[in-house]
Amino acid sequence: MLELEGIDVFYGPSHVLHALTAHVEEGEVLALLGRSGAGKTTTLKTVMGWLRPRAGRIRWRGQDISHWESVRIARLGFAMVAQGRRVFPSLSVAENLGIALNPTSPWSLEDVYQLFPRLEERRYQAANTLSGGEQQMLSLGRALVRGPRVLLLDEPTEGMAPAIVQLTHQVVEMLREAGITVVLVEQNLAFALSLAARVAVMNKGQVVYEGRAQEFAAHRELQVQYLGVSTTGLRVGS
Amino acid sequence: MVLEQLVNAVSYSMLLFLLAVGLSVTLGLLRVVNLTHGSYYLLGGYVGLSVVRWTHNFLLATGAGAATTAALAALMFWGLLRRFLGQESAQVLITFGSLFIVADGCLAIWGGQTYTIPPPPGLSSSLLLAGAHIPTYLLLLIAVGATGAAAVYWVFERTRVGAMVRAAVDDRELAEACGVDVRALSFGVFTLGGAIAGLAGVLGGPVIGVYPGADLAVLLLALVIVVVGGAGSMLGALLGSLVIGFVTTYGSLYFPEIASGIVYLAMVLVILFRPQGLVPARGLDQT
Repeated sequence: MLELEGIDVFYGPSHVLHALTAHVEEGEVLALLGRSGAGKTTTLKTVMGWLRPRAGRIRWRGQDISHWESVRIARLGFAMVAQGRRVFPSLSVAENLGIALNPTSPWSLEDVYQLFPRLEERRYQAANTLSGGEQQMLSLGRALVRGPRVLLLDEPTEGMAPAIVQLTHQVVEMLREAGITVVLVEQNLAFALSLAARVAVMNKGQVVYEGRAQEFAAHRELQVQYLGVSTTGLRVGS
Repeated sequence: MVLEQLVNAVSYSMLLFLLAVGLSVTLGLLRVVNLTHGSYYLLGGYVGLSVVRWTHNFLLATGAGAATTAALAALMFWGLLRRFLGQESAQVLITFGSLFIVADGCLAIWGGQTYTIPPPPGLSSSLLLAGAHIPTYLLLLIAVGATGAAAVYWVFERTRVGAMVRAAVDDRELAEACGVDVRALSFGVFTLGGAIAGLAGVLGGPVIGVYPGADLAVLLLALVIVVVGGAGSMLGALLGSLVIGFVTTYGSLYFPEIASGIVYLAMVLVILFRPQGLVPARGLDQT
Protein backbone atom coordinates (compact mmCIF):
# COMPACT_ATOMS: atom_id res chain seq x y z
CA MET A 1 0.00 0.00 0.00
CA LEU A 2 1.10 3.55 -0.76
CA GLU A 3 0.12 5.87 2.07
CA LEU A 4 0.26 9.63 2.27
CA GLU A 5 -0.29 10.96 5.74
CA GLY A 6 -0.61 14.63 6.66
CA ILE A 7 1.51 15.91 3.78
CA ASP A 8 2.31 19.64 3.69
CA VAL A 9 3.99 20.97 0.56
CA PHE A 10 4.97 24.55 -0.23
CA TYR A 11 6.06 26.25 -3.43
CA GLY A 12 8.14 29.02 -1.91
CA PRO A 13 5.73 30.85 0.38
CA SER A 14 2.54 29.35 -1.05
CA HIS A 15 1.07 26.41 0.78
CA VAL A 16 -0.10 23.90 -1.86
CA LEU A 17 -0.85 20.64 -0.05
CA HIS A 18 -2.60 20.95 3.30
CA ALA A 19 -2.17 17.90 5.52
CA LEU A 20 -3.02 15.69 2.56
CA THR A 21 -3.95 12.17 3.53
CA ALA A 22 -4.66 9.45 0.98
CA HIS A 23 -3.82 5.87 0.21
CA VAL A 24 -3.54 3.61 -2.82
CA GLU A 25 -3.98 -0.14 -2.53
CA GLU A 26 -1.40 -2.27 -4.27
CA GLY A 27 -2.49 -3.27 -7.75
CA GLU A 28 -5.36 -0.81 -7.96
CA VAL A 29 -5.90 2.09 -10.32
CA LEU A 30 -6.72 5.23 -8.36
CA ALA A 31 -8.11 8.22 -10.24
CA LEU A 32 -6.97 11.43 -8.62
CA LEU A 33 -9.51 14.05 -9.66
CA GLY A 34 -10.16 17.69 -8.96
CA ARG A 35 -10.30 21.11 -10.57
CA SER A 36 -7.09 22.59 -11.86
CA GLY A 37 -5.01 24.02 -9.08
CA ALA A 38 -6.33 21.49 -6.57
CA GLY A 39 -2.83 20.04 -6.06
CA LYS A 40 -3.03 16.81 -8.08
CA THR A 41 0.22 17.31 -10.01
CA THR A 42 1.94 18.51 -6.84
CA THR A 43 0.88 15.29 -5.13
CA LEU A 44 2.44 13.16 -7.87
CA LYS A 45 5.64 15.24 -7.83
CA THR A 46 5.89 14.84 -4.07
CA VAL A 47 5.49 11.07 -4.27
CA MET A 48 8.19 10.95 -6.98
CA GLY A 49 10.57 12.91 -4.75
CA TRP A 50 10.64 16.02 -6.96
CA LEU A 51 9.20 18.06 -4.12
CA ARG A 52 9.97 17.62 -0.43
CA PRO A 53 7.07 17.54 2.02
CA ARG A 54 7.60 19.96 4.89
CA ALA A 55 5.51 17.75 7.13
CA GLY A 56 3.88 14.33 6.94
CA ARG A 57 4.88 10.85 5.84
CA ILE A 58 4.84 8.93 2.58
CA ARG A 59 5.03 5.19 3.06
CA TRP A 60 5.35 2.39 0.55
CA ARG A 61 4.76 -1.11 1.97
CA GLY A 62 5.27 0.41 5.39
CA GLN A 63 8.65 1.97 4.55
CA ASP A 64 8.99 5.72 5.03
CA ILE A 65 10.17 7.23 1.73
CA SER A 66 9.19 10.85 2.44
CA HIS A 67 12.72 12.21 2.28
CA TRP A 68 14.26 9.85 -0.23
CA GLU A 69 16.05 11.21 -3.28
CA SER A 70 14.06 10.93 -6.48
CA VAL A 71 16.49 8.45 -8.05
CA ARG A 72 16.15 6.14 -5.05
CA ILE A 73 12.36 6.29 -5.29
CA ALA A 74 12.65 5.51 -9.01
CA ARG A 75 14.84 2.52 -8.27
CA LEU A 76 12.37 1.32 -5.66
CA GLY A 77 9.88 0.92 -8.53
CA PHE A 78 8.16 4.27 -9.03
CA ALA A 79 7.80 5.65 -12.55
CA MET A 80 6.24 8.85 -13.82
CA VAL A 81 4.56 9.85 -17.06
CA ALA A 82 4.83 13.57 -16.54
CA GLN A 83 2.42 16.20 -17.74
CA GLY A 84 3.20 17.48 -21.21
CA ARG A 85 4.99 14.23 -21.99
CA ARG A 86 8.51 15.54 -21.24
CA VAL A 87 10.76 13.46 -23.46
CA PHE A 88 14.52 14.11 -23.51
CA PRO A 89 14.84 16.30 -26.62
CA SER A 90 18.60 15.76 -27.12
CA LEU A 91 18.19 11.99 -27.13
CA SER A 92 16.98 9.72 -29.87
CA VAL A 93 13.91 7.57 -29.34
CA ALA A 94 16.11 4.54 -28.66
CA GLU A 95 18.24 6.51 -26.18
CA ASN A 96 15.16 7.81 -24.36
CA LEU A 97 14.14 4.19 -23.78
CA GLY A 98 17.68 2.90 -23.30
CA ILE A 99 18.65 5.12 -20.36
CA ALA A 100 15.45 4.17 -18.55
CA LEU A 101 15.71 0.45 -19.28
CA ASN A 102 15.66 -1.73 -16.21
CA PRO A 103 16.83 -5.27 -17.05
CA THR A 104 14.35 -6.78 -14.59
CA SER A 105 11.35 -5.09 -16.23
CA PRO A 106 8.78 -7.48 -17.66
CA TRP A 107 8.69 -5.15 -20.71
CA SER A 108 11.73 -5.12 -22.97
CA LEU A 109 12.58 -2.61 -25.68
CA GLU A 110 11.20 -5.12 -28.19
CA ASP A 111 7.89 -5.24 -26.31
CA VAL A 112 7.65 -1.47 -26.42
CA TYR A 113 8.43 -1.40 -30.14
CA GLN A 114 5.81 -4.08 -30.69
CA LEU A 115 3.27 -2.06 -28.76
CA PHE A 116 4.20 1.16 -30.57
CA PRO A 117 5.55 0.30 -34.05
CA ARG A 118 5.82 4.04 -34.78
CA LEU A 119 8.59 4.30 -32.20
CA GLU A 120 10.58 1.54 -33.85
CA GLU A 121 10.30 3.30 -37.21
CA ARG A 122 11.67 6.44 -35.56
CA ARG A 123 14.12 4.86 -33.15
CA TYR A 124 17.13 6.87 -34.38
CA GLN A 125 15.23 10.14 -34.65
CA ALA A 126 15.70 12.89 -32.06
CA ALA A 127 12.77 12.85 -29.66
CA ASN A 128 12.00 16.54 -30.17
CA THR A 129 11.12 15.84 -33.81
CA LEU A 130 8.27 13.49 -32.82
CA SER A 131 4.62 14.48 -32.96
CA GLY A 132 2.72 14.95 -29.71
CA GLY A 133 1.15 11.52 -30.00
CA GLU A 134 4.49 9.87 -30.65
CA GLN A 135 6.01 11.66 -27.67
CA GLN A 136 3.16 10.28 -25.60
CA MET A 137 3.98 6.76 -26.82
CA LEU A 138 7.62 7.34 -25.94
CA SER A 139 6.73 8.62 -22.50
CA LEU A 140 4.55 5.54 -21.86
CA GLY A 141 7.17 3.20 -23.31
CA ARG A 142 9.84 4.71 -21.09
CA ALA A 143 7.68 4.04 -18.05
CA LEU A 144 7.10 0.43 -19.16
CA VAL A 145 10.80 -0.40 -19.53
CA ARG A 146 11.32 0.83 -15.95
CA GLY A 147 9.23 -2.17 -14.89
CA PRO A 148 7.35 -0.05 -12.36
CA ARG A 149 5.51 -1.26 -9.30
CA VAL A 150 3.79 2.11 -9.06
CA LEU A 151 3.08 4.26 -12.11
CA LEU A 152 2.17 7.91 -11.71
CA LEU A 153 0.32 9.23 -14.77
CA ASP A 154 -0.21 12.98 -15.03
CA GLU A 155 -2.97 13.91 -17.49
CA PRO A 156 -1.97 11.43 -20.18
CA THR A 157 -4.89 12.30 -22.49
CA GLU A 158 -4.45 16.08 -22.39
CA GLY A 159 -4.43 17.38 -25.97
CA MET A 160 -4.29 13.89 -27.46
CA ALA A 161 -6.16 12.68 -30.55
CA PRO A 162 -8.81 9.98 -29.95
CA ALA A 163 -6.59 7.22 -31.35
CA ILE A 164 -3.84 8.06 -28.86
CA VAL A 165 -6.34 8.28 -26.02
CA GLN A 166 -7.51 4.79 -26.99
CA LEU A 167 -3.92 3.53 -27.05
CA THR A 168 -3.21 5.06 -23.63
CA HIS A 169 -6.35 3.35 -22.34
CA GLN A 170 -5.06 -0.01 -23.56
CA VAL A 171 -1.68 0.52 -21.90
CA VAL A 172 -3.24 1.37 -18.54
CA GLU A 173 -5.52 -1.66 -18.84
CA MET A 174 -2.48 -3.81 -19.55
CA LEU A 175 -0.72 -2.41 -16.47
CA ARG A 176 -3.79 -3.01 -14.35
CA GLU A 177 -3.95 -6.61 -15.51
CA ALA A 178 -0.27 -7.00 -14.68
CA GLY A 179 -1.08 -5.91 -11.11
CA ILE A 180 0.77 -2.59 -11.31
CA THR A 181 -0.40 0.15 -8.95
CA VAL A 182 -1.47 3.20 -10.94
CA VAL A 183 -2.24 6.73 -9.80
CA LEU A 184 -4.01 8.51 -12.63
CA VAL A 185 -4.45 12.27 -12.61
CA GLU A 186 -6.96 13.07 -15.32
CA GLN A 187 -9.35 15.80 -16.46
CA ASN A 188 -11.12 13.43 -18.82
CA LEU A 189 -13.62 11.97 -16.39
CA ALA A 190 -14.95 9.22 -18.67
CA PHE A 191 -11.42 8.03 -19.35
CA ALA A 192 -10.51 8.01 -15.66
CA LEU A 193 -13.69 6.30 -14.47
CA SER A 194 -13.44 3.57 -17.10
CA LEU A 195 -10.05 2.54 -15.70
CA ALA A 196 -10.11 3.29 -12.00
CA ALA A 197 -11.38 1.14 -9.17
CA ARG A 198 -11.45 4.07 -6.80
CA VAL A 199 -11.45 7.84 -7.04
CA ALA A 200 -10.03 10.48 -4.73
CA VAL A 201 -11.13 14.06 -5.35
CA MET A 202 -8.86 16.90 -4.29
CA ASN A 203 -9.72 20.49 -3.52
CA LYS A 204 -7.34 23.15 -2.22
CA GLY A 205 -4.59 20.69 -1.42
CA GLN A 206 -6.73 18.13 0.42
CA VAL A 207 -8.66 15.00 -0.40
CA VAL A 208 -12.32 15.92 0.01
CA TYR A 209 -13.94 12.77 -1.32
CA GLU A 210 -12.89 9.15 -1.63
CA GLY A 211 -15.02 6.35 -2.98
CA ARG A 212 -15.55 3.60 -5.51
CA ALA A 213 -15.31 4.70 -9.12
CA GLN A 214 -18.59 3.00 -9.96
CA GLU A 215 -20.39 4.95 -7.31
CA PHE A 216 -18.84 8.23 -8.38
CA ALA A 217 -19.76 7.47 -12.00
CA ALA A 218 -23.37 6.69 -11.06
CA HIS A 219 -24.01 9.82 -9.04
CA ARG A 220 -24.07 12.99 -11.08
CA GLU A 221 -24.64 15.06 -7.99
CA LEU A 222 -21.27 13.94 -6.59
CA GLN A 223 -19.58 15.01 -9.81
CA VAL A 224 -21.36 18.35 -9.73
CA GLN A 225 -20.54 18.88 -6.09
CA TYR A 226 -16.83 18.03 -6.29
CA LEU A 227 -15.83 18.75 -9.87
CA GLY A 228 -18.43 21.24 -11.02
CA VAL A 229 -19.39 18.97 -13.91
CA SER A 230 -22.81 20.49 -14.54
CA THR A 231 -23.71 21.10 -18.13
CA THR A 232 -21.29 18.95 -20.14
CA GLY A 233 -21.50 15.87 -17.96
CA LEU A 234 -19.14 13.05 -18.83
CA ARG A 235 -16.78 13.91 -21.62
CA VAL A 236 -16.35 10.80 -23.70
CA GLY A 237 -13.26 10.13 -25.77
CA SER A 238 -10.98 13.12 -25.93
CA MET B 1 52.44 31.90 -44.29
CA VAL B 2 48.92 30.71 -45.04
CA LEU B 3 49.65 27.20 -43.85
CA GLU B 4 51.48 28.43 -40.76
CA GLN B 5 48.52 30.53 -39.68
CA LEU B 6 46.13 27.68 -40.37
CA VAL B 7 48.18 25.33 -38.18
CA ASN B 8 48.31 28.00 -35.49
CA ALA B 9 44.56 28.49 -35.59
CA VAL B 10 43.67 24.78 -35.59
CA SER B 11 46.14 23.85 -32.84
CA TYR B 12 44.96 26.74 -30.68
CA SER B 13 41.33 25.71 -31.27
CA MET B 14 42.09 22.16 -30.16
CA LEU B 15 43.70 23.43 -26.98
CA LEU B 16 40.69 25.64 -26.34
CA PHE B 17 38.35 22.71 -26.85
CA LEU B 18 40.14 20.67 -24.18
CA LEU B 19 39.88 23.68 -21.93
CA ALA B 20 36.22 24.46 -22.50
CA VAL B 21 34.55 21.08 -22.87
CA GLY B 22 34.49 20.29 -19.16
CA LEU B 23 33.18 23.74 -18.29
CA SER B 24 30.39 23.46 -20.85
CA VAL B 25 29.14 20.06 -19.73
CA THR B 26 29.32 20.81 -15.99
CA LEU B 27 27.45 24.05 -16.64
CA GLY B 28 24.77 22.08 -18.45
CA LEU B 29 24.52 19.54 -15.63
CA LEU B 30 24.81 21.72 -12.55
CA ARG B 31 23.49 24.99 -14.05
CA VAL B 32 26.45 26.65 -12.38
CA VAL B 33 29.59 28.14 -13.89
CA ASN B 34 32.58 26.48 -12.28
CA LEU B 35 34.83 29.50 -11.74
CA THR B 36 37.63 27.19 -10.59
CA HIS B 37 37.87 25.72 -14.08
CA GLY B 38 40.74 28.03 -15.09
CA SER B 39 42.58 27.03 -11.92
CA TYR B 40 42.70 23.43 -13.13
CA TYR B 41 44.48 24.66 -16.21
CA LEU B 42 46.97 26.64 -14.08
CA LEU B 43 47.62 23.88 -11.56
CA GLY B 44 47.94 21.28 -14.31
CA GLY B 45 50.50 23.48 -16.04
CA TYR B 46 52.60 23.99 -12.89
CA VAL B 47 52.54 20.31 -11.95
CA GLY B 48 53.49 19.43 -15.53
CA LEU B 49 56.34 21.96 -15.38
CA SER B 50 57.78 20.44 -12.19
CA VAL B 51 57.46 16.89 -13.47
CA VAL B 52 59.19 17.81 -16.74
CA ARG B 53 62.03 19.41 -14.77
CA TRP B 54 62.49 16.38 -12.54
CA THR B 55 61.99 13.59 -15.01
CA HIS B 56 62.35 15.16 -18.47
CA ASN B 57 59.37 13.06 -19.40
CA PHE B 58 56.59 15.07 -21.07
CA LEU B 59 54.15 12.17 -21.22
CA LEU B 60 54.51 11.61 -17.49
CA ALA B 61 53.98 15.35 -16.98
CA THR B 62 50.64 15.31 -18.83
CA GLY B 63 49.50 12.32 -16.76
CA ALA B 64 50.58 13.96 -13.50
CA GLY B 65 48.96 17.28 -14.40
CA ALA B 66 45.67 15.64 -15.32
CA ALA B 67 45.69 13.37 -12.25
CA THR B 68 46.33 16.28 -9.88
CA THR B 69 43.51 18.39 -11.22
CA ALA B 70 41.17 15.38 -11.38
CA ALA B 71 41.86 14.84 -7.68
CA LEU B 72 41.27 18.53 -6.92
CA ALA B 73 38.01 18.55 -8.89
CA ALA B 74 36.83 15.34 -7.20
CA LEU B 75 37.67 16.77 -3.78
CA MET B 76 35.84 20.01 -4.55
CA PHE B 77 32.75 18.19 -5.75
CA TRP B 78 32.60 15.56 -3.04
CA GLY B 79 33.73 17.78 -0.21
CA LEU B 80 31.83 20.96 -1.05
CA LEU B 81 29.61 21.21 -4.11
CA ARG B 82 27.72 17.97 -3.47
CA ARG B 83 26.19 19.51 -0.38
CA PHE B 84 24.95 22.56 -2.27
CA LEU B 85 23.40 21.09 -5.41
CA GLY B 86 20.62 23.32 -6.65
CA GLN B 87 21.84 26.25 -4.54
CA GLU B 88 23.40 28.23 -7.30
CA SER B 89 24.71 31.25 -5.43
CA ALA B 90 26.40 29.03 -2.84
CA GLN B 91 28.09 27.07 -5.61
CA VAL B 92 29.29 30.20 -7.37
CA LEU B 93 30.81 31.42 -4.10
CA ILE B 94 32.50 28.07 -3.48
CA THR B 95 34.06 27.93 -6.94
CA PHE B 96 35.04 31.61 -6.81
CA GLY B 97 36.72 31.16 -3.42
CA SER B 98 38.51 28.03 -4.60
CA LEU B 99 39.90 30.03 -7.52
CA PHE B 100 41.75 32.35 -5.10
CA ILE B 101 42.91 29.51 -2.86
CA VAL B 102 44.42 27.61 -5.79
CA ALA B 103 45.97 30.78 -7.25
CA ASP B 104 47.62 31.71 -3.94
CA GLY B 105 48.75 28.14 -3.37
CA CYS B 106 50.39 28.08 -6.79
CA LEU B 107 52.01 31.47 -6.16
CA ALA B 108 53.46 30.20 -2.88
CA ILE B 109 54.88 27.06 -4.48
CA TRP B 110 55.97 28.19 -7.94
CA GLY B 111 56.43 31.94 -7.48
CA GLY B 112 55.47 34.78 -9.77
CA GLN B 113 57.55 34.10 -12.88
CA THR B 114 56.25 33.13 -16.29
CA TYR B 115 57.40 29.66 -17.28
CA THR B 116 57.30 27.88 -20.57
CA ILE B 117 57.23 24.10 -20.43
CA PRO B 118 59.85 22.73 -22.84
CA PRO B 119 58.15 20.64 -25.50
CA PRO B 120 59.03 16.95 -25.61
CA PRO B 121 62.43 16.25 -27.19
CA GLY B 122 62.10 15.72 -30.92
CA LEU B 123 59.11 18.04 -31.06
CA SER B 124 60.93 21.30 -30.36
CA SER B 125 61.95 21.95 -33.95
CA SER B 126 59.96 22.88 -37.00
CA LEU B 127 59.06 21.04 -40.12
CA LEU B 128 59.41 22.50 -43.59
CA LEU B 129 56.05 21.82 -45.17
CA ALA B 130 55.15 23.29 -48.58
CA GLY B 131 57.57 26.14 -47.96
CA ALA B 132 56.23 26.88 -44.49
CA HIS B 133 57.95 26.32 -41.16
CA ILE B 134 55.54 24.41 -39.00
CA PRO B 135 56.51 23.84 -35.34
CA THR B 136 56.19 20.09 -34.85
CA TYR B 137 54.77 20.61 -31.37
CA LEU B 138 51.72 22.29 -32.86
CA LEU B 139 51.12 19.22 -34.99
CA LEU B 140 51.20 17.10 -31.83
CA LEU B 141 48.73 19.49 -30.25
CA ILE B 142 46.39 19.09 -33.20
CA ALA B 143 46.70 15.29 -33.10
CA VAL B 144 46.12 15.04 -29.35
CA GLY B 145 43.34 17.62 -29.40
CA ALA B 146 41.54 16.00 -32.31
CA THR B 147 41.87 12.53 -30.77
CA GLY B 148 40.66 13.82 -27.42
CA ALA B 149 37.76 15.66 -29.02
CA ALA B 150 36.77 12.54 -30.98
CA ALA B 151 36.96 10.37 -27.86
CA VAL B 152 34.91 12.76 -25.73
CA TYR B 153 32.43 13.21 -28.54
CA TRP B 154 32.06 9.45 -28.94
CA VAL B 155 31.42 8.88 -25.23
CA PHE B 156 28.97 11.78 -25.08
CA GLU B 157 27.00 10.99 -28.23
CA ARG B 158 27.30 7.24 -28.68
CA THR B 159 27.32 5.53 -25.29
CA ARG B 160 24.63 4.88 -22.69
CA VAL B 161 26.49 6.90 -20.07
CA GLY B 162 26.77 9.77 -22.54
CA ALA B 163 23.04 9.58 -23.19
CA MET B 164 22.45 9.72 -19.44
CA VAL B 165 24.54 12.88 -19.19
CA ARG B 166 22.62 14.48 -22.06
CA ALA B 167 19.34 13.42 -20.46
CA ALA B 168 20.37 15.00 -17.16
CA VAL B 169 21.34 18.21 -18.98
CA ASP B 170 17.93 18.22 -20.73
CA ASP B 171 15.79 17.50 -17.68
CA ARG B 172 17.39 16.61 -14.38
CA GLU B 173 14.17 15.69 -12.54
CA LEU B 174 12.97 13.40 -15.25
CA ALA B 175 16.37 11.73 -15.60
CA GLU B 176 16.25 10.88 -11.89
CA ALA B 177 12.72 9.52 -12.27
CA CYS B 178 14.14 7.26 -15.01
CA GLY B 179 16.62 5.84 -12.50
CA VAL B 180 19.64 7.94 -13.55
CA ASP B 181 21.83 8.85 -10.58
CA VAL B 182 22.46 12.45 -11.62
CA ARG B 183 24.60 13.22 -8.59
CA ALA B 184 27.04 10.38 -9.28
CA LEU B 185 27.05 11.33 -12.95
CA SER B 186 27.81 14.96 -12.08
CA PHE B 187 30.69 13.84 -9.90
CA GLY B 188 32.16 11.83 -12.77
CA VAL B 189 31.72 14.61 -15.30
CA PHE B 190 33.11 17.25 -12.94
CA THR B 191 36.20 15.13 -12.22
CA LEU B 192 36.77 14.26 -15.86
CA GLY B 193 36.32 17.90 -16.86
CA GLY B 194 38.94 18.86 -14.28
CA ALA B 195 41.33 16.22 -15.62
CA ILE B 196 40.95 17.42 -19.20
CA ALA B 197 41.50 21.06 -18.18
CA GLY B 198 44.65 20.00 -16.29
CA LEU B 199 45.83 18.13 -19.36
CA ALA B 200 45.21 21.28 -21.38
CA GLY B 201 47.41 23.16 -18.88
CA VAL B 202 50.37 20.88 -19.54
CA LEU B 203 49.79 20.79 -23.30
CA GLY B 204 49.38 24.57 -23.40
CA GLY B 205 52.55 25.08 -21.33
CA PRO B 206 54.95 25.15 -24.30
CA VAL B 207 52.68 27.51 -26.27
CA ILE B 208 50.84 29.80 -23.86
CA GLY B 209 53.05 29.32 -20.84
CA VAL B 210 52.26 29.05 -17.15
CA TYR B 211 52.05 32.22 -15.08
CA PRO B 212 50.02 33.79 -12.29
CA GLY B 213 46.82 35.09 -13.84
CA ALA B 214 46.66 32.40 -16.51
CA ASP B 215 43.79 30.88 -14.55
CA LEU B 216 41.60 33.94 -15.03
CA ALA B 217 42.71 34.46 -18.62
CA VAL B 218 41.76 30.95 -19.69
CA LEU B 219 38.59 30.94 -17.58
CA LEU B 220 37.44 33.98 -19.48
CA LEU B 221 38.29 32.35 -22.81
CA ALA B 222 36.45 29.16 -21.82
CA LEU B 223 33.41 31.19 -20.80
CA VAL B 224 33.41 33.00 -24.12
CA ILE B 225 33.55 29.63 -25.89
CA VAL B 226 30.64 28.28 -23.87
CA VAL B 227 28.59 31.40 -24.59
CA VAL B 228 29.42 31.26 -28.30
CA GLY B 229 28.95 27.50 -28.65
CA GLY B 230 26.00 27.04 -26.30
CA ALA B 231 26.09 25.36 -22.88
CA GLY B 232 25.93 21.65 -22.31
CA SER B 233 26.64 20.54 -25.85
CA MET B 234 29.71 18.83 -27.20
CA LEU B 235 29.27 20.17 -30.70
CA GLY B 236 28.83 23.65 -29.20
CA ALA B 237 32.13 23.41 -27.33
CA LEU B 238 33.88 22.27 -30.51
CA LEU B 239 32.37 24.94 -32.74
CA GLY B 240 32.91 27.65 -30.13
CA SER B 241 36.57 26.64 -29.80
CA LEU B 242 37.06 26.75 -33.56
CA VAL B 243 35.41 30.16 -33.82
CA ILE B 244 37.47 31.65 -30.99
CA GLY B 245 40.67 29.90 -32.12
CA PHE B 246 40.38 31.24 -35.65
CA VAL B 247 39.17 34.69 -34.62
CA THR B 248 42.08 35.07 -32.19
CA THR B 249 44.71 33.85 -34.65
CA TYR B 250 43.55 35.79 -37.70
CA GLY B 251 42.35 38.75 -35.66
CA SER B 252 45.79 39.38 -34.19
CA LEU B 253 47.25 39.00 -37.68
CA TYR B 254 44.99 41.40 -39.55
CA PHE B 255 43.71 43.68 -36.77
CA PRO B 256 46.55 43.77 -34.23
CA GLU B 257 45.25 47.05 -32.71
CA ILE B 258 42.08 45.40 -31.42
CA ALA B 259 43.48 41.88 -31.03
CA SER B 260 42.71 41.60 -27.33
CA GLY B 261 39.08 42.61 -27.74
CA ILE B 262 38.23 40.83 -30.94
CA VAL B 263 37.16 37.63 -29.17
CA TYR B 264 34.53 39.56 -27.26
CA LEU B 265 33.39 41.24 -30.43
CA ALA B 266 32.79 37.78 -31.89
CA MET B 267 30.89 36.83 -28.75
CA VAL B 268 28.69 39.91 -28.92
CA LEU B 269 27.88 39.17 -32.56
CA VAL B 270 26.85 35.61 -31.71
CA ILE B 271 24.73 36.78 -28.76
CA LEU B 272 22.98 39.33 -30.97
CA PHE B 273 21.89 36.77 -33.51
CA ARG B 274 21.80 33.53 -31.50
CA PRO B 275 21.46 34.36 -27.80
CA GLN B 276 21.40 30.68 -26.84
CA GLY B 277 24.73 30.01 -28.61
CA LEU B 278 25.47 28.26 -31.89
CA VAL B 279 24.41 24.72 -30.88
CA PRO B 280 23.08 24.57 -27.30
CA ALA B 281 21.85 21.35 -25.70
CA ARG B 282 18.24 21.01 -26.84
CA GLY B 283 16.79 20.88 -23.36
CA LEU B 284 18.41 24.22 -22.53
CA ASP B 285 17.11 25.76 -25.73
CA GLN B 286 13.88 27.00 -24.25
CA THR B 287 15.19 28.16 -20.88
